[in-house]
Amino acid sequence: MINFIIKRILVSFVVVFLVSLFVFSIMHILPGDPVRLAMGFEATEQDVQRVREQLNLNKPLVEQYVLWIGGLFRGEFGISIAYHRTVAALLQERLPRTINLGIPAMIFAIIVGVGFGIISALWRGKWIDQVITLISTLGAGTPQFWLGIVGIYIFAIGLNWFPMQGYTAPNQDFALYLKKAVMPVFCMAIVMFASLARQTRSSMLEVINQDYIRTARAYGISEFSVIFRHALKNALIPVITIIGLQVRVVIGGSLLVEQVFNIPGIGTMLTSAVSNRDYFVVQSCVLIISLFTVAANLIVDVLYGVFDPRIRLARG
Amino acid sequence: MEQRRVLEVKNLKTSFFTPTGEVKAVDDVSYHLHEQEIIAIVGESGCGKSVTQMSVLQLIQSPPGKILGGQILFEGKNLLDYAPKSQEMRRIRGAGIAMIFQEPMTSLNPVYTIGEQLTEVIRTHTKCSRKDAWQIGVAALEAVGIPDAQERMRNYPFQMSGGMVQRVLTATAIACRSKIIIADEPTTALDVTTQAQVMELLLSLVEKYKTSIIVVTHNLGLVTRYSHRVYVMYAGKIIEAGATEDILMHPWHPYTRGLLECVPNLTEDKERELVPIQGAPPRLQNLPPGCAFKPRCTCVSGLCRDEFPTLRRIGPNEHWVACHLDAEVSQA
Ligand SMILES: Nc1ncnc2c1ncn2[C@@H]1O[C@H](COP(=O)(O)OP(=O)(O)O)[C@@H](O)[C@H]1O
Ligand SMILES: [Mg+2]
Repeated sequence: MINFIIKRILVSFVVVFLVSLFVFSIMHILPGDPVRLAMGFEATEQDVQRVREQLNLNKPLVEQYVLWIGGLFRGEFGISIAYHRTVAALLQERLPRTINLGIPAMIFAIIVGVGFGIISALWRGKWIDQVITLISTLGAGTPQFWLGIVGIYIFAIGLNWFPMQGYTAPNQDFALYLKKAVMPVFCMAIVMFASLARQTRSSMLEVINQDYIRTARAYGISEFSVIFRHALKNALIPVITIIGLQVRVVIGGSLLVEQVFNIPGIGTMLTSAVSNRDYFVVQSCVLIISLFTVAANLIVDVLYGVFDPRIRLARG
Repeated sequence: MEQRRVLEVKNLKTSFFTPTGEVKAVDDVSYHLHEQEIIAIVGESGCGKSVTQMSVLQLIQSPPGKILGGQILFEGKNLLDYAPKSQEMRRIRGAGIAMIFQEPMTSLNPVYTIGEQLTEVIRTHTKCSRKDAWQIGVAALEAVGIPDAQERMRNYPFQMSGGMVQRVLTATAIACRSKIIIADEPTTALDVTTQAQVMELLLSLVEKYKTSIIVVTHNLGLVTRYSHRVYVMYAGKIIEAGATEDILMHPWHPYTRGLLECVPNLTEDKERELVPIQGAPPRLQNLPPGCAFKPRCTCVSGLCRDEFPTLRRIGPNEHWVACHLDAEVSQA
């Protein structure tokens, strides 16, 4: 298992490296001059050229790439051309906002999704199962930004339950943070929630019919232990796969949802940075997103081993 | 001398209600088990043997299954008075009547070790510490002849062979001091040498722990060497019952005789041809009236078509048969 984890970490580094290469190339291939865009058309060609030199943008691409990566190892992410600030400072300001919504969204999706899946399986065919199945079928097919807009329309404008948009840090005003977080977190979580509920339900129903569940019952094990110890641990193995896949969906979705709710996080910054060709911001954001994705997949791989001894022992 | 009956099943009826109709898997089945006795329940696959035994512990999946009637008398109580999920029923499962299932490889939970599963069952039935349960578990594994029991407790089921897992299940029954062990096709998935070992093990339990044992099988040959009495099942009914030697020496029902002819006999001359029974067992829904065996029977009479033969006693011993055939014809 330890060897396996080390191997996976090495693979993760390779993935992140390839991502960095990819995003760097894409940004520099795309037409459009970030400095000109930032300084406007009234700036003279000399001024623009001077800023380019300051930012090393006149150097050969390979050298630029090496300079960028080298900077990363010293904790320097470069400078935002549009914001006139270091990318590090921008990230420090914005990353917590994205995390403070994204992580609760994942936790919500996992707990409620798996919980609803179990309830659905245990009351198969009853009204509660039908309601959950309906919610998860709709949820899996609903575009997140559309849900966000409808949510704002109904719950913010119509019912006035929640603020329309924006973000407040939890340590600043926790109640307000919660109020503002409800809708975006729900929108980010909905797809993951839906697929987890569906997967949990179907794998639970499959596991319940296995011989070893019958054995547990035949030896007098309590129904509680049969469901939550014997069945659930087996049923969660395929659910972990879905968690691994859906983490990416939540991360991707949060970029869109931030737009809808006007949350000054990584998503909004990345979107405007792309149109401004703000090289260092885009590159850093994409790199950080890929780091999160890779880390999430690493956790999922470890979870596999924890839940399934066949995998744990096979990995050596 | 009348022996004490540890289990008595009376007129048990279990059906599955499927979209295509009612499957009468167990149809008015009665049998009993004496103290320290081994009985065999024999019949082709699909004739309701497993469902009968699952009904005893009320492990029938419902829906589609339902126990429609009968009595299951154990320790002075009718188990069918208890709800399937009741505390009383759970206390009997494993500690009163334990079941060893047909498919050993899938019978244990793949994500828990033998020790975790064994100790959980022990602690369900006995008030004891985790440590004590572990010790009881190790002792039980040793009692069923598993070497390196301490080591094995830390194994997962997939690290063991089918025969070994079967022993683990047997050990679980022993650890909980089960009065009755029901072994469903304990030998089917195993090779010939292991088959004999499993049967020897079960036999030894009868002496060591005063256990009574029900062996379910479709192989009349192996089991009869160990069982005191035999019940032959066909299409959800018992069609012949009696002491093993009566069944072997004087089989009455053409089906029983057919089963016996399928048994390879090593002592007789090897030229003898094995004659399997013609045809296949019927599907257990919408059975026509009359004897269920008649389409495959070699000696059908007019009576067989219209009237189901009830069990009747033949001869001086407790030999019962459900067949219209007369004595003279049968012995011919
Ligand atoms: N869950 C079920 N649903 C419908 N029919 C079933 C179910 N379980 C068993 N049966 C039927 O009950 C009959 C008896 O099965 P079983 O007792 O397993 O036979 P065997 O004698 O081989 O152990 C079979 O015809 C089978 O089709
Ligand atoms: Mg069977």
